[in-house]
Amino acid sequence: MNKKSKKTMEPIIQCKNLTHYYGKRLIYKDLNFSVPQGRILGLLGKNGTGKTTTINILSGYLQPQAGECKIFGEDITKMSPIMRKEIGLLIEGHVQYQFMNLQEIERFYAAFYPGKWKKEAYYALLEKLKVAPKQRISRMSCGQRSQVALGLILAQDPSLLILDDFSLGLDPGYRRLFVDYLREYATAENKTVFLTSHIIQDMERLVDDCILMDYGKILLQMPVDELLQTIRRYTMHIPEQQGIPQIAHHSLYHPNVLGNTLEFFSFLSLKEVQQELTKQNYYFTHLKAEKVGLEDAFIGLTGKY
Amino acid sequence: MIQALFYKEWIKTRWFLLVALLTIIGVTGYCILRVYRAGELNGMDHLWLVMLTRGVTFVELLQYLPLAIGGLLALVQFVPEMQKSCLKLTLHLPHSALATTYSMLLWGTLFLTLCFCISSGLLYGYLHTVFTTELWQQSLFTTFPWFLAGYMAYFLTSAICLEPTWKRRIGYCMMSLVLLHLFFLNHTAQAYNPLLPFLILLTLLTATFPWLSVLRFKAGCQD
Amino acid sequence: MKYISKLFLALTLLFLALWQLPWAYNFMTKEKPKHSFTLFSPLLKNFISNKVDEAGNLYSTDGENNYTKAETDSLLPFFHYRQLIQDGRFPDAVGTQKISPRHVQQTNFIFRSHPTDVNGPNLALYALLESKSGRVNLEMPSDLFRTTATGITFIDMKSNTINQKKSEEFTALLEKKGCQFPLSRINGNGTNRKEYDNGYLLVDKQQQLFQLKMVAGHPFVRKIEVPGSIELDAMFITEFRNRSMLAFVTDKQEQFYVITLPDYEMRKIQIPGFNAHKQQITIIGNLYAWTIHVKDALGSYYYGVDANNYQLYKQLRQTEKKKKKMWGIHFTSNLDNYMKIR
Repeated sequence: MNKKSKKTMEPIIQCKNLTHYYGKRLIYKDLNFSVPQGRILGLLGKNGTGKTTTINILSGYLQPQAGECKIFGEDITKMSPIMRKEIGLLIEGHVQYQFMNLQEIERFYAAFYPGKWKKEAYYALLEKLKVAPKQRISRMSCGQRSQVALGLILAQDPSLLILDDFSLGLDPGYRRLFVDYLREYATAENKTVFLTSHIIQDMERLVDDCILMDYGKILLQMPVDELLQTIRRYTMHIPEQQGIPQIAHHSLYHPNVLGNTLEFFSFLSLKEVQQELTKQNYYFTHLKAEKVGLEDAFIGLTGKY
Repeated sequence: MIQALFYKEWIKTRWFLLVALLTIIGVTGYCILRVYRAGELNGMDHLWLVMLTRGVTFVELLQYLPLAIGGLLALVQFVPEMQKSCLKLTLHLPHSALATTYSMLLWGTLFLTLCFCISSGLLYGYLHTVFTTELWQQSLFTTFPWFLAGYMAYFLTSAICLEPTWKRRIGYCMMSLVLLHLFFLNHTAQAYNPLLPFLILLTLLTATFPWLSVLRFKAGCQD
Repeated sequence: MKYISKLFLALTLLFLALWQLPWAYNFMTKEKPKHSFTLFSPLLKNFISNKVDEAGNLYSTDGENNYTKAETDSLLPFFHYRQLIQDGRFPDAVGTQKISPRHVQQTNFIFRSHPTDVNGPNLALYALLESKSGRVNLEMPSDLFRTTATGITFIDMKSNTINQKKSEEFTALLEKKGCQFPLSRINGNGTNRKEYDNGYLLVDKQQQLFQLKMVAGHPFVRKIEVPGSIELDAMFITEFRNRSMLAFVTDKQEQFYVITLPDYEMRKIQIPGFNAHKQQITIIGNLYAWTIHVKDALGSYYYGVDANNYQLYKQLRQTEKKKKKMWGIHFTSNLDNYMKIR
């Protein structure tokens, strides 16, 4: 799959010093990130790390306790309705108006995007669905609804797409269809996409960049290619009772000893790991380094628990 | 764009509108039929005297109907918006959130106005042929606070539906019960005539509450 | 718009608090009203009240002496005449005046007025009954009348049309008698549940007073002389069995009058004052004396009045110790049936 090279453009999304609490529970403090134009960025994180919070803030449905978020240079809380034309929003669960049918919903949305609405794009996608034009959305399956939602976004043709958990409830076929369509569309039209999903394999197929969230902070933000090229899973045999080596804290991610086997993730090269361990007189044998996929990298960097 | 919003509201509410319209026409028609039949059986003069001496208005059946229609209309319009936070889609439209909200409310208000005008028109159309001015006015003016209650029920129920937290919904419910109770404190014919300007003002005030609920929804307020 | 909405919500909550909190407080602290039946005894020339002692027993007293039931019956012969007849204790005379049960029945009357009767809401349509139909029972008319800027108009109830001829006839006679339209006040008993009909009292725009009746289908109008300084306020047509009174009337200075028949004289009843808009009145009258009970928020006033010359014998004040009510907004009132902000 071709991935675009990173373009140095003005960021479409810029968030500075975002801070939010739910009651007394801190979600994150002084969060900073930006999304450049023309990139597909995926937000990864375990449950409770603030992905939905961030999506809600970006889509204008949550007021952060502190900090600001700008899209197209405008504060999202004060964004003009005209600018919202350029933002395509997919709500978690592919929610759409249940009481409308395919024709009605297209006719409704078209009125808000005069001169811009691409009716053909919508109906072209929906031809693949085995549904009648007058079938109500409430009577469709989750997968069919996801295609309706995607079709509407394609017809809207926005510059920025914000997709909250786009794969929720979809079977593998619909997920693949969604990902492939979206990827092709975003790449061909130079769209900026900001999305979340629980299915990391889909993210791997789709996104250019990723932000990995941990509790209270961003763990890393980098292109997926670069992440997968540099992250390694290391395994080695160690004597019992030796314990975990004292390499600098940020160099080792979630070291785990199971019997005689030590496993950890690191951005250090094999040579660098060997040197560090030898420096500390740490005894080990059968040191192995292997590249991993995005899902394994995610689990390795954030931990299993 | 307001046409598109009306189109959405039409899709949501068309069956309810039909039922509500038929109900109010039916009940109004039944009130008229009662007058007609009572007139046939007892003589119109008897009805005049009953209205004069006992303050009977022959429209008592309509008393709670506008309130029910207003409340139910708000439920039919706004419960679907709040299912799975569909309101996010509505507020994300490239249209002022204030204008969007009040377009939806305008739809409901216009429909209620249509219902009440039809009911009043039917009542006037028949009653003025059989009763003198003071008597048919007594009947009609007696319905005015009930119609206002219908508008207020609509606005308050909208505010309750659009409110994102249950705590405030319950608070609004309690407030609504007390406010709406005001319209039904006195059953004497034309008792509410001096209070109508105040009730109109109060109803207009409550029309601003749905916007507060929408603002709280946009801010992400939670229980 | 956000701040306007918040302001309106705050105003609404304030309004609700000012309305409901006092209501709730007053509702929970309302005391049981003390009822005491008081009548003026022409024999004692004093009031007798029924009271309840600490043991819950009913007794009668004039303030100094207590009386048994039997004694009370005798002291109030015109009120308890049926009991006295049954007991065989009905007197032949009271003072020097010979009386009979029939005479007592003919001359007894009860009159009541509540502020809601005066303050409304009332429909401005009136039923003018035929006074001399030749039938024992009165019949309701086939039309109602209203007053207009230029006269009175009769509307036929069955056809909902104006009876032009009748309207012109009645208006013409009123004008001939000096009545100037539009009328400012009108009062009558538009019901056939009475023995005879005294028609309506009308006050025109010059504060002149007229009686209007329908006799054999034609208008009867009589101008009633009102002493020059009197500004008429509330009026109450009466149709008591003794036929000696046309109406009770009040003026703007809260003076109370009776218009007697057949002389149509307006005589002042010598009680300190009565405001029909704010006070309720009950008059239990008989051959000798009237007990006039005037009640308002501050308490009850009882007046014993001579039935012949309307002079005040005695008065009695009963105030009720009421718990102070919490101030707040309310919409209803004991004084009228309107809904208003009070």
